[in-house]
Amino acid sequence: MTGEPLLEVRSLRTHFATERGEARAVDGVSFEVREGETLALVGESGCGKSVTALSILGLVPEPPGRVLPGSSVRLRGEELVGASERRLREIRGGEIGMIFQEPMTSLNPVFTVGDQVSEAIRAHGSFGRRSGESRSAAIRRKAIEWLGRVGISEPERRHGYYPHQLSGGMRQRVMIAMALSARPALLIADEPTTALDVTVQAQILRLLASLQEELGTAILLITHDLGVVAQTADRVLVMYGGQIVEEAPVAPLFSEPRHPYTEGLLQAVPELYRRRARLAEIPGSVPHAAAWPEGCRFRPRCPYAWERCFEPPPLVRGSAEGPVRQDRCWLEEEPTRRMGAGFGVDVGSGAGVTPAAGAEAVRPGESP
Amino acid sequence: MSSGESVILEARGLTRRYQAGRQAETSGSVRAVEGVSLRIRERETLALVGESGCGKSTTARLLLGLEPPSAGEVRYRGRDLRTLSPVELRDFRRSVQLVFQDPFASLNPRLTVGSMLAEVLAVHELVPRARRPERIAELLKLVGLDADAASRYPHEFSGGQRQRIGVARALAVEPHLIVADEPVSALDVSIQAQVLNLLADLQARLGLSYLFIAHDLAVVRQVADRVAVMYGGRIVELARADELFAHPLHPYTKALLAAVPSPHPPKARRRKADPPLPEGEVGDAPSFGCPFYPRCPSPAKDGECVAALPALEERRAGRWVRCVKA
Repeated sequence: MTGEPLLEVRSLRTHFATERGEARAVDGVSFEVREGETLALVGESGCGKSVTALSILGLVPEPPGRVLPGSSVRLRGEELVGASERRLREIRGGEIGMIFQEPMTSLNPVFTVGDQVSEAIRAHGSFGRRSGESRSAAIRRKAIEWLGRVGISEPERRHGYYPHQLSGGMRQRVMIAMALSARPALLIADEPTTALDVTVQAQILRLLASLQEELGTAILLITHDLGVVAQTADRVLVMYGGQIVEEAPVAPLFSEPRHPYTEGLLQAVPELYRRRARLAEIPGSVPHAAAWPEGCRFRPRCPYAWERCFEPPPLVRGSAEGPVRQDRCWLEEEPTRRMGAGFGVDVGSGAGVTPAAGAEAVRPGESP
Repeated sequence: MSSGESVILEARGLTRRYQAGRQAETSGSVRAVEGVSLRIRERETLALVGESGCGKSTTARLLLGLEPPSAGEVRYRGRDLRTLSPVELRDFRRSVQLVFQDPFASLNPRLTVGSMLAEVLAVHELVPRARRPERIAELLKLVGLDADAASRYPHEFSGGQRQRIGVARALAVEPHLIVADEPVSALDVSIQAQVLNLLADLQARLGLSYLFIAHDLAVVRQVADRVAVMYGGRIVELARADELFAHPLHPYTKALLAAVPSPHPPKARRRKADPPLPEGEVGDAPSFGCPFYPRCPSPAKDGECVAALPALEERRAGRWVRCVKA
């Protein structure tokens, strides 16, 4: 599960020139992805998670964007910031695979899906030519094999389909085949199931999990969906205001969130097996990246904020022991301020609507 | 809650058919909605759930009278829409309001929020001109916006605030029923909570009914009194929300609930214990038998599921299911 750092991001700053001034979309982000793990990057729109992914891949449009000097992205020790475009093209789709929210915009509408998977294999993959087999026949065989592997039925027939002839879930499977056929060490998946129906989302998440187990690929999963995070991630980074505000292994993040933003998000999410009397509201909305508040960027929305929060809090490690937990909040130094404050919501059950058997006991499929 | 017996809007055998699509994966799906019957009572929230293409939005359009059914009827307070007089139809159009998924697309960018609301009030002749500014301020306060919002344009607001404006516009005409089509699915989670709480508060204060159309089952759990689950253009299960979530009967409802990723991390990675998922996608509904049969993880062995469409049966009071095995 966890091993050596595969990807090391240090002090990443990506800013954009906008009408409202310099937007600090990503503003000093450091983290690492280890071999074979799933690291989730979560947060709401405008928190900087997608720009972080684009920065890693060298895909920030310049101008208006720029990755600031001092930023570093190392893949197995090799610096990617400032690397040649040629080398970056090799890495993208090679050592680092990518899948995005809307596969239709990533697939070329005028080529068949088989051709597009073949192209990925030709460029980056291995196709182990059999004796007497031509290079193109070997690539075609491998492409069909990958289409089958990602759960596309009748892959020989569907090889000749164009993207518009496939459903959204099928297209995402094709994207996964293209990304993983190159056997990347890291897959960056940006909201890969957000546009899909829930049963299809579950199919795709299971497919990714089983391919990850088989191939040992590390996944950097970018999502706003805390359920998806809970079910797939090993570790989690929570982003707000272009910064990481909390880092933790998945279980303690959900059971004991430390940063008030994480706490608010968890209390704002409705749950299937527990109707809350009222959902937590995080007041206001995410400010523009050109106008982050002074001090702690969450301060204007935080129920605990006090004078000290006008100073920017550092990202600090909770304890020297055990797995890394960090959060960016002055409450770490003055924990008693949590008492009697919060998002002001009854997090227990609503009036008479919780099943008597208790929240977790009634997973569907087990009920009579 | 289900105590209010007075029915505002009712669908009886609503059916809507379209020409066949030409896409390879979807050809033959001509029935958008088939034989849908349901009632929306005073002060209740009925949720209509299902995945894309299940017919939930078409059902809403039929209920609003925005398109005519191919068969069946819509009854407003007991009267078939087709038999309403112009005056009664006007009352229907005022009493039943729509809130959209994307509030920005539904707001005129060139009107200030105040002039937009004034226009609605004028069209329905509800408030004398002199009292309109007062009423507008009242509406904005009701949805949690500052009074100065009246002088601003839609683009000056965030997504959550725009949805509040959309709600204010619906409330301007003092409706009894709001049809909300995916009202929070475009919003971030913290903003989604704000809008869901607002809808709940307004219901308590104004005695509104909601037809809440959503694909997010956790959101539905939070808001609904009763839930109708749709698949392949038909209602496959209808029940009180607490019963449906605690003991789903239809295999599709079970699959849908099982597919929702829980925001509680598992103790260990236990992928082998995952519940069975339906295969394939929604487009594959057949033209006879049970619409869910091709994807059903537990069909009847004797072919009963393909032989004929199962009826939507009431198993207990208010507990409806369309499945021969459930």
